[in-house]
Amino acid sequence: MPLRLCNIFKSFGEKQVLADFSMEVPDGGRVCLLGASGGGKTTVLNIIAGLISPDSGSLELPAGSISYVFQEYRLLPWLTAEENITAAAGCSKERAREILAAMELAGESKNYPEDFSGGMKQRVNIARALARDSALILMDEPFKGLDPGLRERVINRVDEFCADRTVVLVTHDIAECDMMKCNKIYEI
Amino acid sequence: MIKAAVAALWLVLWQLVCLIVNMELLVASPLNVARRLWELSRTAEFWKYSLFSLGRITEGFLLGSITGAALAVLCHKSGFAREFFSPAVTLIKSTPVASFIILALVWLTGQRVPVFISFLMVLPVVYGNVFQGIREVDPKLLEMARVYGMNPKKRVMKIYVPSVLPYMMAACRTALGLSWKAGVAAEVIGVTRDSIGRQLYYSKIYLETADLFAWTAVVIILSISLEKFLIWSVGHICGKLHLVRRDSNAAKIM
Repeated sequence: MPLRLCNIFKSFGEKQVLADFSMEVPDGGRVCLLGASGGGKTTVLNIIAGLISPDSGSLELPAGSISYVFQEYRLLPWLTAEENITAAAGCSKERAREILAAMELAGESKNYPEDFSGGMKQRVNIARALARDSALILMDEPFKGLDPGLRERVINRVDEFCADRTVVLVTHDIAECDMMKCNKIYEI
Repeated sequence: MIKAAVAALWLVLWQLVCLIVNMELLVASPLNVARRLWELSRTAEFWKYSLFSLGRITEGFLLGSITGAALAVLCHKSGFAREFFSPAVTLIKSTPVASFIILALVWLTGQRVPVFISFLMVLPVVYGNVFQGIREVDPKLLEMARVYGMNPKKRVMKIYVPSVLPYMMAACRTALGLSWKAGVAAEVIGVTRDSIGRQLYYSKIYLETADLFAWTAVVIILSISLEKFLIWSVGHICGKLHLVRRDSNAAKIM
């Protein structure tokens, strides 16, 4: 079942963030939401994730669970990187370590988020989303804060792990859309 | 090193005050208090009274902590419960402890009075802190839990409990001191059998100032020891349950 948003309207107080927004992503497809800050890109992801409700419009989701790479990491500070992944994604320790290694964090699985740099936290955030056996992955500026070389390697790994999954990527950088092989770009 | 130097300085100051006042009846000297403490510790009664008081106050403290935490969860879940219990908690906080002790002496048998008074002192402190802690749980973490489909048990164990723990620990540290002060006061007023409070009362009756100081020192030592034990045991258990960091930075959370 494809991901489909039809004629979505959403306002926060007086400010209208989404007006008649529609989007369709086929099963296993990848789309990119591109645009300036405050355009409503994160709002679209939050509506898909069920964190907020649209004022009007309809939403159809693919069967299965959702993973979300949040913009602000949202890691549990009292759990190690590995435990953050197993607790949220419900996967085994081995799987968590495998994905952490893919994110070039092999030696960091027993360390705590407080001891990580922003880029490392972001990679744990990505690893958590990839570790879950989900049909749909939402990514809100997932590669922000990664230096260029690392960013390219991480994008390649994410591309591999996202095979056959539906992906909605939010970014300011059109190059990321290309590297993630997005089929369609929605400018909002 | 600094702590030992500060303690020594206070002992010197105490000795100086003692020399200036020059009346053992008003201020017992540190040496006399230490001697009396040594003598007392060589009697079976000393250990019996100390252990019984420790037991009563610990019981009241634990009951108050558990009830306060449970009440905070209930009041967070239910607006009606919050409205219903709010005046009772305010009443407990503002009523003089002496009034409660006298009432408790009418309602209960002597042995239970210190337990009840400790319970009453701990309950509002733990309730207030835990309630605040639950309110302060990061909503973004709860959203993450929702998206990732974490079940209620997992949300409680992985998010709520670790978030509330620092509030609970702060409450326990404050409440522990309060429960000792009020619990011993209840033993003094109620002249509870086999208690430190009763010994304090006798010290006053027989004008045994050194005894008064010695028993007070016992209360302070027991209170500090219990606090240290509480922090150690909670830290140990929470570490095992993955509720706090298990490395050298764990103390920051506690």
